[in-house]
Amino acid sequence: MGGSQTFMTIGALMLLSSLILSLNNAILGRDLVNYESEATLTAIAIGQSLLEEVRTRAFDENTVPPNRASSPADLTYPDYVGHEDGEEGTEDFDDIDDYDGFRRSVTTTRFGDFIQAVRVYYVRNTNLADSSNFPTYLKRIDVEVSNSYVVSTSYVGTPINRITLSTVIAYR
Amino acid sequence: MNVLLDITVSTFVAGLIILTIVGLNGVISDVAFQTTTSVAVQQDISDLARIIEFDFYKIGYSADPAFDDLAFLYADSARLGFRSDIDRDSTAERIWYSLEDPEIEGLEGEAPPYKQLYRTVDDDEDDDIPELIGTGIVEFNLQYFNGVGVQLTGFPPTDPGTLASIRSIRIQVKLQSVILPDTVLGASYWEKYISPKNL
Repeated sequence: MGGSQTFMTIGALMLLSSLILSLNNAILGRDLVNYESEATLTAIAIGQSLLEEVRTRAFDENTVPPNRASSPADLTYPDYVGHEDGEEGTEDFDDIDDYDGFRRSVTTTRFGDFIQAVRVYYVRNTNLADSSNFPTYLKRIDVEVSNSYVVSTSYVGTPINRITLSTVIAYR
Repeated sequence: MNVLLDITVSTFVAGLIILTIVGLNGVISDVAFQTTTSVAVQQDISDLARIIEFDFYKIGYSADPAFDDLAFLYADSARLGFRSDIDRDSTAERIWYSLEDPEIEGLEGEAPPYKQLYRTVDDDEDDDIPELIGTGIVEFNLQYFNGVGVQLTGFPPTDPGTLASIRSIRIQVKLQSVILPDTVLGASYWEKYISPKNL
């Protein structure tokens, strides 16, 4: 009788321990989700800030005022997008595609460094997702922000530590 | 003897279980409190961002440079004054953003752990009461850029020409929960580069 009581007590304790462990796991998981959402919000803010900064520049090197483009052929050829010689930093960047390939790190006290990477390319009005091999009046800006606390899901369902914000700018 | 041992052991086990459950209950309450606080901070920074974006994108709206109505009245890293017709009555109001120390009971004379952001709309009426739009601010910075994206320095400027050359503003804010001053229960960072259309 004493033996069976002991076994029942041990069983009950094991059950309780298992319950507590799973509850603890759930609590930790919730903490993690909180941190991830905070980091993701920060990443979005940092990405939007850079997008806005890029938007303030001229559409193209050949449309920096007072220059104007009368046709897409007047714009920089896709192979030559990127900053020109002598344009070393954002203070020298005078058009959108100078930011192509640009990388910058923003340090925060809670989540460390957020790495921003920019890609700028021409798109067609019939397909805003894929790059165009020839100049058009539309340029797409992709700003990727990565940080180890940021968690989003790639198109194949794999968790990735980055988000990408995009916008399309039209020449006016 | 066996009965006595059974009673002792079962009492000990029962006590252990009760202690564990009470402890777990405490942890769950703490986590719920922390989650609520964290969500509240994220909501606070989202509200603050909405107010700032509403105002800053309209800087200079209806300000007439022909009458020396410069869009900016004052600018430094923690204080900004500008003109804008935010209520669309065809007259530009003077709007002030300023970072101030809070008044915390028991902390008189000591450096406060956070600051508060106030917004004042000066529309030439007497009731221009500063409105508290953000609290728990542990980081706040305003940077100014000219038309070609070069950061302007030397703020507050001594000449109106520098104020007139501002075309973009970068604002960086970090909010923190203020419920328990020594414990960070939740924090949130926001930054934005804003180029008002009327500058």
